[in-house]
Parts: sequence; structure tokens; C-alpha cells
Amino acid sequence: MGLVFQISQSPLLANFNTTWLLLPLAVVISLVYSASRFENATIILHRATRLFLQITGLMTAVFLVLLLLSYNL
Amino acid sequence: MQNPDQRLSLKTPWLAALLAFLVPGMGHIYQGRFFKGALYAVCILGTFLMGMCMGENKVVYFSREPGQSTYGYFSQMMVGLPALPALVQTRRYQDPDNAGVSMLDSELSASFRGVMISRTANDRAKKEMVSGQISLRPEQGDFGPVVRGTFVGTDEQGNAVTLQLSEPFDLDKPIAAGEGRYLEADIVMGDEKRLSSVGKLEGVIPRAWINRFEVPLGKEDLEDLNGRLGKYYELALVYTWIAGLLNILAIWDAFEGPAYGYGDEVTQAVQPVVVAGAPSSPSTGGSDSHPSATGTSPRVAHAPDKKPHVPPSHPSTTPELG
Repeated sequence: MGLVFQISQSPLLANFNTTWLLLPLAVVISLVYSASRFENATIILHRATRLFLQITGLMTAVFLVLLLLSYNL
Repeated sequence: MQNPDQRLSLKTPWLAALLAFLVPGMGHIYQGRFFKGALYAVCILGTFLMGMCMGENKVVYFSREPGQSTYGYFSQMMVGLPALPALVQTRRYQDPDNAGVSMLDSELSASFRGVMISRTANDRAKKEMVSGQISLRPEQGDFGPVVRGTFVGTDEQGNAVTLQLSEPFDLDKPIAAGEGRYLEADIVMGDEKRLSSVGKLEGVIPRAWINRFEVPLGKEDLEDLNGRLGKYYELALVYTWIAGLLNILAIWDAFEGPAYGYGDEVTQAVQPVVVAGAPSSPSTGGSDSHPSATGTSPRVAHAPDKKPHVPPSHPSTTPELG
């Protein structure tokens, strides 16, 4: 049984939504993409943070739009 | 190929790229870029391993079977050594010698768990879970070689169970994705001369890790995984795909250096350096690209995302891009 699957099935995380698993992906993509653009560690971290916020911001916006569209459904 | 910054030594770029392909981050460590090497290793390998864990180590394999093709493997493959065994395992899996057997070449001894199906007096089947040690060997029977052996273990209540086993015997192929190798044999009673079947033993013996790691999944294995893990299996695939795709960026970084330069050019932009032969003007930009893209060294540096304003009539300092 998958580790994450097992964890998600535990009573404490009974309502665990798999969407949260996209956040580590967003972190990794931001870091690796920024690292491939620049060499300076500070700049990499700064740009990665910005990119992560952009990605999560976009995801949040899409989520809010879908939430609005599904209101009262 | 141009080194984007004099502070950066790419050493032997093709070797660095090869190392970066084999082990994410290794190429950068070879070049002495330890921060990036560690970052790539942690991020890419971490994502890949997270995907593997989520999918019970059954998400990375290569198959071209109709309806079960895994073209996503080509992105997983870019993670390098962690995914490359799948190519060898596919060949081993598809080898004609990898088949189920009904006869043993040598003695087989392994732990076993499964079901003991015994026939009762009124000819009804009684099933009991058992676990223990199974031992089988080829013997010479009256009409040729046969498989015989014993099972010693316990049932669910902890009662000792000892069974005598004989043919018909069936053992699953040695190389497959499942953790257990299916085994089936008849439970017999009587002496050597006259054995009579009283039931059947069905279950699995462990399959060696080397014989199941990154081996193509059969249709039943795939359905079982999808049924149990559901969307986690899909997510596991996505994690491993993305890890491979991200390593392409890392490989290119090891080969060519960072796409936009060192990154601190914004601090140098206060005192721009004039490129030899170019008109000396405070606004010497004119390029639409980032510093490293011009390929000139030393270059006029500017913030990567804050392009200097250039009047339309101003001559460009980078003719190839102007």
C-alpha cells in the first residue's frame, strides 16, 4: 500500500484532499526552473519564491472561479 | 557553446551533462556548483522517489504492449539511473524463458502464505488461511519426474499445520511486477506408493526484489493498483514524469550554464560595461534577450526581467539580435 495513500487514509487525515499534493510539486518546479535560469543562490531562492507564489496564486484563482461557478449546485 | 559568466567553470560540459543525466545534480557537483547540485538532487530525486512511493514502486516501467503502452517512461527515463533498469527489466520480462512452470529444476524452499482448501466429508470445500515455510523438490515418479514437498506452518488460530504436497503443481513466472509469486499444489495423504489428493494449497511465495523492480505490469496488476490506489496512482505517475522533465532543465544547465546568466547582473547595471566597438551610450541595451543569450563577453548586463528602455531609433549593440 502506498505510503502517502496510507497516511491519507489515517483517521487524522480522513478529509485529506489530494490537491495538497500539488504544492510540493509547485515548490520543486519553482526551484528547479529558477535554478536553471540563474547561478546565484540568493537570486534562485528569490525567483523561486516569486514563481511559487505565481503558480499558487493562479491555482487559487482557478479554484475560486470553479467555486463560484459551482455555488448552489 | 558559451560560458555565460567568467565566474562559472563548466569544466567538460558533455561529461557534466552525462553525469547530470545519470544522477540528478551530479553534473553540477562535478563542476563545483554544489548548491545547485544539492538543489537538483533533492528536488528531482525527491519528486521521483515520492512518486515511486505513492505508486508502490510500480509506476516506472516500459511497455509497448498494445493498450498498455507507457510512453510516459521516456520522461521518467530522463531521471537517469533510477529509471534505466526498466529497460533491462522489460527485456527480462519478455524473455521466452520467463514463464510459469509446472516442474522444478532444483529444490525450492521459501516462506509461503495463502489458502488451504480441504475437502470435507460431505465434499464441500473448507478454506483456511495459512502461513509458514514451503519446501518442494523434483523427484522421480512412476511415470516421470514429479514435484513433491511439504508445508509447515500455522493457520489463523495459530494451530500447527503440516501438509504433504504433490502434483499438480503450478508456479508463476519468476520475473513479474507482483511482490508474490503465485504457487499452487495439491495436498496429498498416504504413503509413497499411493497418494490421494485431499485438497489444494494456493498462495504466494516472495518474489526477489530484483525480479519485480521496474518490471512491466500485467493487466491484472494494473487494474489492482488502480482499484486500490485510485487517483494516487495517477498522481504518482505525474510526480515521476515531472521529475524526469525537470532533469532535462538540469542537464542543459550542466551543459550550457544558467540560461539568464549568474543572476546578480542587476547590481552591475549601475555601471554598464561598454562592448568593444559599440557606441558608448548609457542605454546600450537594445537586445531583447537576457545577457547570456547575446553570447558576448564582457557584456552589458541588466536585470533579467527589467529590460532597459531603448528608443526605436537607437542602434543596437547586438547586431545578431538587432
